[in-house]
Amino acid sequence: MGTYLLRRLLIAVVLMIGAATLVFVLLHSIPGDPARLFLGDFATEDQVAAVHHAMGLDRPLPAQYVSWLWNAAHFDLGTSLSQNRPVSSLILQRLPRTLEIVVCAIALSLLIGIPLGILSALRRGRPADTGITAGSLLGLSVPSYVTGTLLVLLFAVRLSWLPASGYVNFSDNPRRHLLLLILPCATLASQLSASIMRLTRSSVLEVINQDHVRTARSKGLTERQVIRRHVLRNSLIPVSTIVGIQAGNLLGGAVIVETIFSWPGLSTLLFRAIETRDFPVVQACVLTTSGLFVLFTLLVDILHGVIDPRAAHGAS
Amino acid sequence: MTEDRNDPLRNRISRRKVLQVTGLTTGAAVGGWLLVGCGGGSVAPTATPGSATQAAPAGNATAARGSASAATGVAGKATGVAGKTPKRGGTLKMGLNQEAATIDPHKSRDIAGTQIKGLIYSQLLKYGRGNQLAPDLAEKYEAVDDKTYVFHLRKGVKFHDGQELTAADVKASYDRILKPETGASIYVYLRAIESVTVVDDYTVQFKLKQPQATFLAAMGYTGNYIAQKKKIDANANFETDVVGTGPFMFVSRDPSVMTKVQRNPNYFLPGLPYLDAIELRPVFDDSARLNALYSGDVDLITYVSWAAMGDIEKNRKYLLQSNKQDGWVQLNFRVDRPPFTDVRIRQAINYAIDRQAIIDTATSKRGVANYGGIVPPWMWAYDKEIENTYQYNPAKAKQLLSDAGATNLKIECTTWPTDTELFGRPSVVIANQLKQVGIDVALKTQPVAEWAQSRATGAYQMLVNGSLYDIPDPDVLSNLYHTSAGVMSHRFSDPEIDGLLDKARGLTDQAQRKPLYDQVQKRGLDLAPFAWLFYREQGEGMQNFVQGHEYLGAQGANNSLLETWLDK
Repeated sequence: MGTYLLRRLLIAVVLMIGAATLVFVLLHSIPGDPARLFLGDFATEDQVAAVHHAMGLDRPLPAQYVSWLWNAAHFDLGTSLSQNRPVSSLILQRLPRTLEIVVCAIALSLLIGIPLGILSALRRGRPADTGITAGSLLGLSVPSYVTGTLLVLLFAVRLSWLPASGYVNFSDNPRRHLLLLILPCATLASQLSASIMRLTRSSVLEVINQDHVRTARSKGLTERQVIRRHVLRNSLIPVSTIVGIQAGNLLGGAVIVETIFSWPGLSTLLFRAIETRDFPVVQACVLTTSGLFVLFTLLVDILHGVIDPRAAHGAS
Repeated sequence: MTEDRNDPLRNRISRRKVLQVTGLTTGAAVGGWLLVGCGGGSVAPTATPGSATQAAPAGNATAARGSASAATGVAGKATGVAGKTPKRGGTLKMGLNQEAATIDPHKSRDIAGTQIKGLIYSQLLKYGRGNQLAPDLAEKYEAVDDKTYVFHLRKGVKFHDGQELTAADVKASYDRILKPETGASIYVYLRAIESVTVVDDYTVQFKLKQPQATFLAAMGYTGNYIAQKKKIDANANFETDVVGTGPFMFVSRDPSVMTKVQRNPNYFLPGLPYLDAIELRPVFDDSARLNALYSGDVDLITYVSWAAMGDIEKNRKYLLQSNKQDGWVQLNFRVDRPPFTDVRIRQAINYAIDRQAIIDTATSKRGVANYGGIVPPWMWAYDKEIENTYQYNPAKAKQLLSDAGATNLKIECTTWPTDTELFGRPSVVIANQLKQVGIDVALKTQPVAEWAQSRATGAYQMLVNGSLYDIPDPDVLSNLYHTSAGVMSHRFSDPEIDGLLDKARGLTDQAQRKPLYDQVQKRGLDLAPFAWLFYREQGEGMQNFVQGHEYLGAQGANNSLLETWLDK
């Protein structure tokens, strides 16, 4: 297990650097000058030149790249061009916020999707199944920006049960923090819970018809024991794979949710940094996001090993 | 029910099942739509990225209309019923249109940052009620000669840390502004300052390299904030070390979350401000910001999109404060390259555009069509004579085009994405109108950062462009028509116009300057390196209990919350 982990981590580092390099090259190939964008419409040319120099943008590109890489290796991610703050503090501040809604969304999706999927499978063909399947169709097909906007209009504007948008630190106001968390989380979870539900349903249906389950029944176990011991764990294997993949997608989908709900996370930081061509911030975000993605997949693989002993033996 | 695993029809979905599921799904969807969509209350229209002006990139010319002795078209009336006594106290919650990139007093002109800075810092001069130039820290000032100005500071003004303001702080602030590497937003207008001298503790003298009529107007504009000399000398971090002399004191700032300020009990104007505290939150998505207002999360929002202005006006729970001529939208022509080397083609395009139709269809009926010059009606140098120069005249446009031998003209127009309300939608309308006179326009849409780069490098044939008025002086024409103009034009150069502008800038008597600007505008319209399309409206929305508030734009942001109070 130890060498396995080490190998995966090494691959992760290489991937992260590769992603950041690719982004560096792309960023500098598209038009857009952070100095100009910062200074605005009526900036004078000598100002633009001076700010360019202060931002270190008049150095040759390879020099900029090497110095960035060298600093990154020493955990110095540079200074934001538009905000004049260390990039690492920006990341450290905003990353946990994105992780919070992503993790909550995953948890919520599992909490909703798995039980509903099982229920739907066990009541196959009956009204409950039809209803749940219809609901999951809606959840899957409605894009997150529609879901999010509708939720805001209903719960915040019409009913005033929840705030429309915003963020407050948990330590400052725990109650409001949690209230603000509900809608973004629900929006992010809408599509994932639908696919988890459908996958669980078909997975359970598949397993329930297998020989070992029939054997368990004929041994005299109650239906509940059959489901708990023999059906569930086996059905959950494909689900865990999906969650791993989708978790990475959630990081991307978070930008829409963060925008609609003014949730100041990493995605909106990256979005704005691209708009303002804040190169150090974009690169740091890419490093972070690719690192997270790799970490997620690693965690899921380990989880897989836990749920399915067959996989664990194969991996180590 | 036993199932035979080998039955091939086992998993067939029955028609009934399909109908049931479809019916349920559709029913749920329609039900949801009815529940949420119908019923009164304002539904915030979909946001479009970057529609919030050039405020999408940080640090932009967000200006406001200025004072005017002949203030026509000014929407700057304070809210509230005259005669109501202001109530003290309360916290005003504001939704800003974006995160302020910086609250450094001398950098960046973005609306959000200026809003915050204007509460904390003061200037020598500012724009007050009715957008008139008014004394702030300088209780009086005089022009000793046309190149020398002396400002007399109020005595006993304290910074928020208790230290008294002196002329040394003023000098230190301006020395910093005048260094190009600071990137100061007001630098372009104050470059003519040769020296700033401390005469005594309460007197500062400014000497200019040459006379400049816009000097005082520029001194009142945002970006002239006075910070402490000791902090400037120590190269303090102005993002966290925030000490000014303004009506509100800095409490805390988490840039992407909230900035808090509280009342300055020692503010130099007694009795002001009325509010106890202000919380400023960035909500950069246009519809999220509106929803924050509609749901009561915030009391006041800056930068209301055109599409939402009508809703806010109609709803008695909210107030809209706007200025119909806060800025403008224009077309740029690359005049040094065919086909726009031919003035007839530029004029033809000016005649071929039905500006009122743009307002009627593309701007949610906000703003005012502009058939004349760019100096707006609320400025003293407005020229009424030219206001109908380019009335819609497609026949004349066609005539000019055929005179120029331009048949089957194909033009590429660089603009913002077509769903953006500021530049995108108008450009679609323009393309259609030009087609009517036989010009084929291909819209090249670019995201804001690339558009800004295209504008700066002249990488366009025709460009949709625009800005906001900043200092309330007709010398805005220099930023457009002068050879030294920056990104607002490209390679347009006319010695006669340059001469007129330089001369007018050096005079201080309005009566002498106006005829020169009239000439510049007439000639500018004849040569038509631009097409002025319409004045753009900009404003703030607030709950109806926000009283004593006057929308002054970024220019008067220093004053905009000084006399605001909450009627609740």
